[in-house]
This record gives sequence, structure tokens and C-alpha cells, in this order.
Amino acid sequence: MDRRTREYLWGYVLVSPWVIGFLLLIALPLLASLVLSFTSWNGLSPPKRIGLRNYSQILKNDPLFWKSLRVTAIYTIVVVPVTVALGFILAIALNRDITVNHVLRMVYYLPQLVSGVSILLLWLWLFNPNYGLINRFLAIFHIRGPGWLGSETWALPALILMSLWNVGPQMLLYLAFLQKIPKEVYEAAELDGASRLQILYYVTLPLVSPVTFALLVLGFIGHFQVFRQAFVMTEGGPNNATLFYVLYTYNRAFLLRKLGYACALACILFLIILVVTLIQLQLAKKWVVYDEDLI
Amino acid sequence: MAKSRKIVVVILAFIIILTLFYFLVLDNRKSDSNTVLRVSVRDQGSYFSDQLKGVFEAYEEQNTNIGIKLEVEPWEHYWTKLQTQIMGGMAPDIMIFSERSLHTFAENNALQDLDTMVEEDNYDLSDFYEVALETGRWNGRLYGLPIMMEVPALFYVKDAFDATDTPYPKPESMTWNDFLELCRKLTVFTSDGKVEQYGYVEQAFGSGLLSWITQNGGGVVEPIVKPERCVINSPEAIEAAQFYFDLSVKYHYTPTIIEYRTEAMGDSFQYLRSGKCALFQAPSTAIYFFEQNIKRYGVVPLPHNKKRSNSIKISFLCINSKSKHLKEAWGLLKHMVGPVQEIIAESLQSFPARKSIAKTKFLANDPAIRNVFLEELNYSIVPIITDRYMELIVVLGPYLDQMGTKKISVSEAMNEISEKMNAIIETE
Amino acid sequence: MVTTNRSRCLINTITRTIVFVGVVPMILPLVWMILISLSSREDIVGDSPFWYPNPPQWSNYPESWKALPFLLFYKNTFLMSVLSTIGAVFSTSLIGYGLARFNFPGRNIVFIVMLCTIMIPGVVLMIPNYILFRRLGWLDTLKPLIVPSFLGLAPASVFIFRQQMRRIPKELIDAAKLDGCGPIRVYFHIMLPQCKPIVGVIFIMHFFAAWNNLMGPLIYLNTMENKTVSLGLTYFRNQYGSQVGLMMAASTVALIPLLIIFAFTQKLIVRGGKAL
Repeated sequence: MDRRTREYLWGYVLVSPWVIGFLLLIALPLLASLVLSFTSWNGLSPPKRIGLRNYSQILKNDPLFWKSLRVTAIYTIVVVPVTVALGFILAIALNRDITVNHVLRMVYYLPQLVSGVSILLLWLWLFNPNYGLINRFLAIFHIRGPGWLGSETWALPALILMSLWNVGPQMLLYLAFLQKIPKEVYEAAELDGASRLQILYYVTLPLVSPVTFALLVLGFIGHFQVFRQAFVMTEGGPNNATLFYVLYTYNRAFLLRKLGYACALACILFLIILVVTLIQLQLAKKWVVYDEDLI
Repeated sequence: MAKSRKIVVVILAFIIILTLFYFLVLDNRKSDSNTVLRVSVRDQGSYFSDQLKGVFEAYEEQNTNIGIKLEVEPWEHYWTKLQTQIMGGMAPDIMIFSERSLHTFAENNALQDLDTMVEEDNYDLSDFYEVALETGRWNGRLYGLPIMMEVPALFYVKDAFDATDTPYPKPESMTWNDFLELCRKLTVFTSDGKVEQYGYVEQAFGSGLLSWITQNGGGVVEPIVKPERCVINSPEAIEAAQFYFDLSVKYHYTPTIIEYRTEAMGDSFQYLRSGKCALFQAPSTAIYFFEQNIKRYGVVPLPHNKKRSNSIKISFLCINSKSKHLKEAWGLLKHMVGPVQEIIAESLQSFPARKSIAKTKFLANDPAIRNVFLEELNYSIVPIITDRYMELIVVLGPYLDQMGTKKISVSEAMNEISEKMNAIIETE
Repeated sequence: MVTTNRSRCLINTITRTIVFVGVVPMILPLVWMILISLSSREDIVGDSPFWYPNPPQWSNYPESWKALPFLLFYKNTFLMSVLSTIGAVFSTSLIGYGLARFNFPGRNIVFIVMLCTIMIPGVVLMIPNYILFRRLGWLDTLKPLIVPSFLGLAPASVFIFRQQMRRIPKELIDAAKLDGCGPIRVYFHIMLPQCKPIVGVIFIMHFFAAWNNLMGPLIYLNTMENKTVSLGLTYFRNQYGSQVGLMMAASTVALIPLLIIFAFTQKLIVRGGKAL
């Protein structure tokens, strides 16, 4: 066996677990979901083929579908850019390598560390209109706090606010990138007479654009699938004000046992994510700057 | 250095392989020579579970070849959990179903037809209340033995009445008008419009709605079994719903849905604990709470308008149709409907579904109160029996919210609900 | 326009102030959580937003554990998290190794497909995976939550490992090969040590994700004895939601293992962040 064949073999062997996993747990299930989306299945009796009826019902006859899309879209469109922007600002502010900054970075990363069902229960209580910290805090300024999770208009803003609390990972990623930018770049710009703001806009932003791009793309994919917050805190209410798309799909699947319908919803979700990501990839060519040395 | 690292790696690999081995090979539970029956119940307190365990241990001693594994699941997600288990092919042998879920699973052949076993054994069903047995049937066959019923009545807090100088209600069903008047007297407002004491609270927001509707001669669906159309927008039903929502939204004799969620955190008993409630509609299971916390209380029948009526909930013990031990499960089931009903009657004060136990063990300390509940049972109905309960009831939820916050008028809401329910009933 | 020293100082001060003020909303909720966990109901529904629980209700902690079988939950969660994280670290590093240092046809395709799987929402695989695990008889066990991590399906981790391993200078590996090291030896003696900080980051990522995972346990675990901490906390909310003190106590306890693990690997993270 010559060297090249050995290299090929080793390569295949090392990658084989992934291939197996991909086929068994990703590719095949994806296909199965598609096939199931053309059936009506209640999990107990065998599935029945019904063609495109699920899809036509979703698109024509299902107000909750559109509602959940709208809710999820609003959530994503607000949370993703804002957290990315906040992460960037924090990274810029805490860039210098002094101890105070190290401590502050830790503090801002804290929400990410404690993310989980625990913190959702805490926020549930923080948002309580009568006894929660937020409304009590507002009361100090004589502001009458809204009903938050109990109110149809304020439930979604409450969940959005909660997500904005957590900017640790974005900050960290920007920091990692910022620290790679050599000092000379800044010094050169200053020598050329650029103001702080100009440096920020014309030098720093382009240099970290790969991070921004990654955060926006991954942020969209991740946040569009938001589930946990609604499931634990509001169960989609009040009056479906926080009915996120994945929660809606879960309800259809495991609450109402409409598994074919749920698969159709899931396939549509996949399509949406695919299309939006491709659009983002295309737009990226216009504003993302890659510097090979940095990567 | 390299050697110690090697050792660490080897040990790590060994641990991983061992655990994998354990999981993938040995984890398949070994079956004893015993038949193990799995029984799944809702969590109703440790006292109830302990009593149940006692019953099972006694049974195991008498039947040495049978082991019983009790699975207690939290209240809230009980039905969805059972549903997932049935879907996953791992349902327990004996399960509890309510009048809302039993028919769905009977329709899908997940439940064992009990009539065959009843006939084989010549089992006497005459001690069970007829309304409970009827509800446990689907397509003419019996799928569950009833064990407990939630029959609502009107509790009153004597201290709250004293505080407003109101005479205690008589042990008879009052008219809606009298009820409204009573609530007005019992509701105390502070100077800035807040409520110091509510006239009336229900065990959960909306829990009494169906009772109010049927008291006015209305209904949810028609016919009740395997409905063909929704009648929740009949004038009677709309009038009843209007009456109900007026109590909170118009008169504020009862907390609004927002207050219920935020002040009481969804726990109506909070109003009783803080002494902010005069009348409380609840089933007999609330007696334990009253005994512990209120002490000076009484129980009277529910009001009526066009007729006396109340909507009840019934729990059934069912057998998994795919159980591998049908005969043993049936044996245990028969045993359970005796002792378990007694435990339920004594410890939970839940209305047992067997007449003999209801007349003796149920509320034995307070025959007067027991009679109120026994009497209410005469007017109890189950307003909807269908295999599509889940789908239909999901329509109701958001509208309760909207009606409770005055976002939509009651008649509009009921018409929309009726439309949606009819749409569901018509599709397959 | 050249910035003067004065304006630079002003911007600095403003930024500094905002950053320091921002610390408050980061920490305050957590402080409050501990405060509530030690309070009785009367304390909580009092008038002011801050109070000193008098006396501190330490009993909330053991009581919250009595309400649900948390000991079992912790055992299950620990087992699942540790095993799936070890599986993830090993499998993703091996796959990253294969993609980084072995030139074989299809290498790029695998990598690209792997990155594309990021776009696939979990919910579209949810039902078929459920069916698969049902067939295998793995429902109501921890297997569906552990075994897939051994297949290296986490694209982000593979990406990071591949990135790092590509950077390792060829001379190191050539030297090792001259010493007679096969690829496995190279992996253990060169790749892993060089990736130590990365391993720390990946370990934390996966451990936290496994520990906080809600949907997986929700779908696959049925009986009480097999459930995890995140499920247990959800039930808390439903059944004991009005007993806030207990709820916060249970929540606080659930955070402690995470903080401990993080503290131990904190140094690795900082180094790992820089290495990226």
C-alpha cells in the first residue's frame, strides 16, 4: 500500500463516524420528513397519503401559521442585529488588556453561563407585573409597568428584552478578532488624521466583518428556531402572542398528534432558513472583507 | 511524561468503552420471573402516592407472582406524556384517563376493550354511577372503569360573610339573580377602586364556564357523543357566557383573567389564603384545603337559571391494549377500583364513582356536605364526548383570554368559536 | 479632523460609565434570584424591591428537592452531559483531524456538506429521529441524547478543530513521522496537546448545551426516574409556580455545577479565545 492510498484510507476512516451520523440522523430523516409531510399521521395508526393537502391547508387555511411566522420574524429581526451590535460595542469598549476589562468581560459573559431553564424561571418572576423586579424598579420612577408576560402586547417584547440581556458570546467572538488586528493599523490611520469614529467605521468594522457576517447568519438560523423561552414561560400565549414557529410545530406534533402536518411545517421552516441564508451569503460578497492574515 | 499520558488515555478509553457497553448491551432491562405491571397515575400529593403504594404492596403479598411499579407523573403534562408514551409504544399497563382523553385513545385502539373481560368474569358494574359508566363507553364498548369524579359545588367562607354582614346562604340552589345580588353584597371595594374582597372565585379561570352554559339550557356541541355541530353560539350559551364574563369584566365581583394570572400566579387558592374571597366554586377535592386553612366554611349547591346543571370531570382506570399481561392487569384493575376509590374518598375527598363508597367513605365526617355533592351529581353531565377533544378545546383557549380582557364581545367570540369548531368537526 | 486629548477623554469617560452601569442589569437579576430563594412568601410580596430575608429560609433548598426527585434528575443530567461531551470532543476532533491533515478525494465535499447542515432546523429531524429511536427501543433512555454526539455531528466544533489543526506546523508532524508515529500517535501526542485551549472551549460549549437541553429530554424521556434537571425545573413552574422561593432555590442549585465546571476550565477558554 503506497503512501497516498494510506492517506486516503486514514482520511475516510477518520471521517466515517460523521458520514454514518449524517446519513442516519440527518439525510435520511430529512427525506423521511419530506415524505411524511405528504401524509396524515396520528402516531398510532399507519400514515395515510394525502398529497399536498397539508401544505395547502397551511398556506390557505391556517392563521396560526402566519401568526407564528410573524411572531418569530419580529423576534429574530430585533434580537439578531441588536445583540450583534451590542456585542461589538462591548468588545470595542473592553478591548484593552487591563484587569478591569477582564473582570467586566466576565460579568457580561455571565448571562450566557447561566442560560438554561433556571434563568427562564427567574425571568418569569422578574416580569411579574405586581411583584417582579422590573416593575418595582419602574415604580421608583413612578412609571406604571405593563403586564409583561400576561399582556398580549408586552409578552413578545418581554421575551425579546430577555434575549438582549445575553450578549456574551457575540462580545467574546469580536474580542478574539479585534485582538488580532495589529496596532500598526490603528496607528497608521491616526497618523493619517482619522478621528476615532472614522477609524471605527472605516478600519475596525471592515476588519471584523467576517465575524459580523458569521454572527448574523448563525444568529438568524439559531434565533429563528427559538423554542425554550416560549415553552417554559408562556406556552405560546397570551392569545398566541408568543407562539413561536417551532413551538407551534411541536404542539401540532406532540399535543395534537398531527405528525404529517408538523413535518410539513418543519419542511417549510427549512425552506425559509435556506432561502434567507442564501440571500445573506449573496449579499455578503458586497460588504464582507476577508484578510487572509487574520484568518 | 509520555507514559503517564498514555496511561490516562488508556484509562479514559476504557471508561468510555465500558460505559458504551453498559448502555448499548446491558441496559436492556432484565425481566424477572415476576410479571411486572406498570401503573401510571397523576401526582396528587405524597400522601395519595403512599397510600397507593400500600394498596399495591398488600396486593403483591397476596399475589406473589406479580410486581407492581407505580409511576407518578406531574399533573400538568400528564396527558401529553401518556400520549407520547402510547405513540412510542411504551405505555404502562394501567393508566388514568379523563373523560376528555379516553375516547381519543379508545378510537385509536390504544385501550383495551373492558367489556370482554367484564363478561368473562361476570363482573358486577351496578355499583358504579351510570353517568360515569356511560362516559367510559365508546362505540358501545367500555374502555375504562371510573374511579373518581369532580362534581362542583359552591363553597362559602363564613368570615367573609360576617365581614359584610351577609347572612349565610341556604342549602338550596339559588337563582342567577340571587347569586348576582349575593356577589354584589360580598364584594368589597377600596376607596381607589381596587378590590379588597372578591364575591366569587372559581377554582381556575374559566373552569365553571361550561356549568354556567348548561345551567342556562345551552351546550357546547350537539349531540354530546360524537358531535356533529357546535352549538356554543346558541342564544342560551351566549347569554350564559355573557353573564360569566360580566362577573369579572363588568362588575369585578370576580378577578379578571389578568389578575388571576399575575396576582394569584394562576392559583385561585391564593385568594382564599389571603382572605380575599367569599364564594368559591370547586369540586369536593377542595375540602382538604378548606379544612386546613379556612375552617369556618360551608357548602351549598350551585345556582341555576333555566335548570340545575353542572359539568363534571371523570377519571378512569384503563388498560393498555398492547399490554403483555392483560389478565393480570385486569385482576389488578378490579382490585384497584375498590381500595383505590376508598383512598380517594378518604384522603383526597374526591367523589368516588361507586355508589357504595360514595355513601359511606366519602366525606364521612360531614354528611350534610356530602349530601350537597350527592345531590349535585343528579344534575351532572359531561358536555362533550368525542375522540377529537384536544383539537376542539384548543380553539377555546385564546378566546377565553380575549373575552376576559374585553378584546372581543362575547357573542362575536362564541360565533367565531362555533365556526372554527364546526370547521374541525367537518374535516376528517 | 484630529481628535483632541480632551474629546478623547470625554468619549472614554462616557464609554466607561455606560459599561459600568451596564453591569448592573447583568448582575442584579442573579442577586435577586438568590435573594428570593432565601425568602418566604411574605417577604416576596412586600412593598420594596429589596429586602433582607429575615430570617433567611434555608429550608427552601431541601424542600425544593423534596418536591420532585431532583437527585435522580441530577444523576441523569450529569451522566448524559459528561458522556455526550466526551463523545463530542473526541469525535469532532478526530473528524477535524481527518479533514485538516489528510488529503483525500471528497474531503472538501464533506466539509461543505457539514457546514450546510447548520441550516437544517432541528425540528425537521425531530419526528423521524423519534421514530428511529422508537424502533431501536431507545425511548425513555439517555441513549438518544448521548450516542449521536459520538458521531461528530456538530459542525461548529469540527470547524474549530480543523481550523486549529491546519495551523500546526508541518515540521512537527514530519518530525513525529520520522520517529515512526502513525496517525493515531500523531493525534494523541501532537494534535490534542496543541489544541488544549480549543478542547476547553469545545468541552464547555457541549457540556452547557447538553446540560441545558430541553427539547431532547422532553421528547425522548418519559418516566420520572429518567428525566433531567431542565425538565424537572419546567415541572416546577407548572406545579409549584406559586411557591417562588422554592422555585428559585431549585433554579439556583441547577446553576452551581455549571459554574463549577466553568471555573475549572476558565483559563483554557481565555487562551482558546485568543488562539482563535
